Amino acid sequence: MAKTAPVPGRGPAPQKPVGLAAASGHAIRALREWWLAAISISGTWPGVACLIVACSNLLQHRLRLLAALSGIAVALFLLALQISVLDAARAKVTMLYDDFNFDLAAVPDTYQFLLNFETIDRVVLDQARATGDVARAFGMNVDVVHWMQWPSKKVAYLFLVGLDDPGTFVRDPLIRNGMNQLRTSHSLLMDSYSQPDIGPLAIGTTAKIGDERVTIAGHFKLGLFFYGEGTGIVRNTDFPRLADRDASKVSIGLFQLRPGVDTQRAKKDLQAIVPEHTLVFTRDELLRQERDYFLTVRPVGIMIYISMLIACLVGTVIIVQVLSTEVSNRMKEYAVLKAMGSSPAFVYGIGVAQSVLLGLGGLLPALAAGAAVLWFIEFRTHLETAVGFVLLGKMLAITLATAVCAAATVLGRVQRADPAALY
Amino acid sequence: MLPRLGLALRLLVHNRLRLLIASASVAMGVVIIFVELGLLLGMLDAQSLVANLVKGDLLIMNSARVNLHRWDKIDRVRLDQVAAVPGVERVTPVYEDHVGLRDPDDKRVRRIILYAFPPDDIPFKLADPAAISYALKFSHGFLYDQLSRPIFGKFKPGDDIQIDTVPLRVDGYVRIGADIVNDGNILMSDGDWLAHSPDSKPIMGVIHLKPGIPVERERRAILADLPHDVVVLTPAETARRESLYTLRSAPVGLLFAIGMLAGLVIGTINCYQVLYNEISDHLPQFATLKAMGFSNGFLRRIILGQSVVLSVTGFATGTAVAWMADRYLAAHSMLPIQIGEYSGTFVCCLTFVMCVGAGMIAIRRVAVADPAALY
Repeated sequence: MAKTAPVPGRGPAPQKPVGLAAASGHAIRALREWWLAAISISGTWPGVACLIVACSNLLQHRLRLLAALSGIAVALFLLALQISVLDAARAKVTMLYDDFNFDLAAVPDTYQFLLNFETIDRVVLDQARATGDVARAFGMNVDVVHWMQWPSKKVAYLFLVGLDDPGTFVRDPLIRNGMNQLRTSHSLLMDSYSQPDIGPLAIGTTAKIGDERVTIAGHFKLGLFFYGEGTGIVRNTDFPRLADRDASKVSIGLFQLRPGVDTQRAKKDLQAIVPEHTLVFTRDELLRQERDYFLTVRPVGIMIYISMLIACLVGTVIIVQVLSTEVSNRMKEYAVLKAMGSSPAFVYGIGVAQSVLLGLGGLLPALAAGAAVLWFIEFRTHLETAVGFVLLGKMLAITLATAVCAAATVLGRVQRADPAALY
Repeated sequence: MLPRLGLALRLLVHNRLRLLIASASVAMGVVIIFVELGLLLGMLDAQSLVANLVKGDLLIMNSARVNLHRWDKIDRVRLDQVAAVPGVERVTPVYEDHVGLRDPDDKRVRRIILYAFPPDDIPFKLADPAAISYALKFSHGFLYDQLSRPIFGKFKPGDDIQIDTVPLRVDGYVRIGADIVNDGNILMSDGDWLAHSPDSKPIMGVIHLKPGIPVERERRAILADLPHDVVVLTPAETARRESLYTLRSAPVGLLFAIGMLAGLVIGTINCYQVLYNEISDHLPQFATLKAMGFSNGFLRRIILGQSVVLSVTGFATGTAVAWMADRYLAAHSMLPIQIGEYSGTFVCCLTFVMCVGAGMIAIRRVAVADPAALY
């Protein structure tokens, strides 16, 4: 029985797909149209043709493609974690200094990193002003004190920072404005990122530092968890009393230079007049020393660098492995392309496109999974590890470089594809 | 379903270069797992180093000292109170502080950890205790930890080195090790230390019980006589508590755990890729075997056999590379990073699971071997 074409307006109307089915139908149709359009222009643009052939090659064995993408994704995921944590740690170790405007710093010669228990004489601040190079001087104190929650009497370590009047030195508006809230000699600002052991942080909450009762008057955000369970900021007029320190001493002296004064010359002038056992650093030197100590001397940096290197190697090797198999399996096809007169650039282009597609295909799930884990790390530790444009840029650059290197390693073999060997 | 190891091995050995590459691919996962596990265990071992070094039955510390890197000290009288408990033979005071060691070359002062104790009663398990005891009896001297990070400068026995501005003589070396927080150690007699810092209080006391006294019973007896400002733990409990604290407070534990998992996934995927290629290349041979009447089960056992062989060669190669990587890492981080018996066994089991798992996935490929496609 011959089939008759359905006549519009007669008989049961064909059922229209609804909801998700309709949407996926549209999507597939749109993809197909895009694909056909791409093929139609591929004759004009060889790059598009390379991309199409590369896609088709990769999609032929989907399970293997999935395995390859998973391997690359895991390696890139590992790399994203390490890079992000390293960058966050690098930023965190100088975070307090980053909140201050200064050109030079004077520290005791025992100084290794911010938490230093030795001090310099406050007179160094006046000596610096007398050089004529220094416009303003600022004293900062640091120490670790016992913080006792009240009334629970639970004890934790508090990293206590004492500051002179902020003036033009303090960049962070939370600290600068917060200092104005320190109206009594028993009030302090607390780091909102302090660990739970510190206890409640609401304004008005009281606690004890040593034998002194203190009240929280404001907040700032630092999260310097490696110095203590929490961080507090007080005025330098109160610091000696709370930390049992000599009021004529400071941990670090910070200096702003007069406009136009050369930093290296000012450093030399200052170093010449400060007392023995006092060192003078420029801002860059101080920050570099801080980073070097935490990331080069301490083992965490070495550990992360090694893990990054391994992740990079693994990503490259997986792409090399997949490409190598692809090239081996498709030597005949490459030979046919050569016999048909395709240029070497076109044949190599297919390989490079496959490599880049593999890299990018692995990068997307790696970033998705990495974003979730990095968010969790940031939530737990307040290290600023969340995925940002810098990390995205670095990951994209590394992925593309890895893909191109892998392609360069493998594609030499394409030269050996010989049309004569086909028969 | 027992794997066909003989045939699997012959198939793999047929192309030795390819076997080498395949083993290296699997080894990559093994190396990642070993390195990440080594870093994690090395960090935990380093953080609890002092607890593991202690030579005694129990430790008494300030209850506020929730980890070994806190400075809450105890009153000396607490040690005397413990010594008065009938089952206690003696209590060794251990003083700990950070002091400034001046590098004789660049004159910079760097913070180093000092341990002081009675020279006749060394509370740590150290090599050649008699020599250490003898050296510590000379006043105005100290022993330098050779495993400290190389930031303190170079000096030899007999040199005078400034410790907190006081010139003291280097009387010899010990081997202890740095950790994540501290860069190095020196040892001194308690007499010298108290002469330098008379108000010092012990950081802990090492309790030695009389022979045959049950530790748990004696701990209860000790705690019954003391106020709640101290805790009494065995060295093993202290080490465990330290490891848990480190894992809880630092994000690196999570990082290394993820790294290990990544190694497992990468190893599985690499092994799968290798087996997939192996099957693809031998598809005509597998089809011939099928045509000869061998079952799919037989072919699957060959693939499983290949995965077992790869797990052995991959583990051996990976262990060799990881051993070298660990030596490099240990030398540069000054942490006790090494392949131990437990970590070796653990990674060996993981490698086997990883390769057999990959084999189980790749096995599906062999089912498509079709004798008709041969011609």
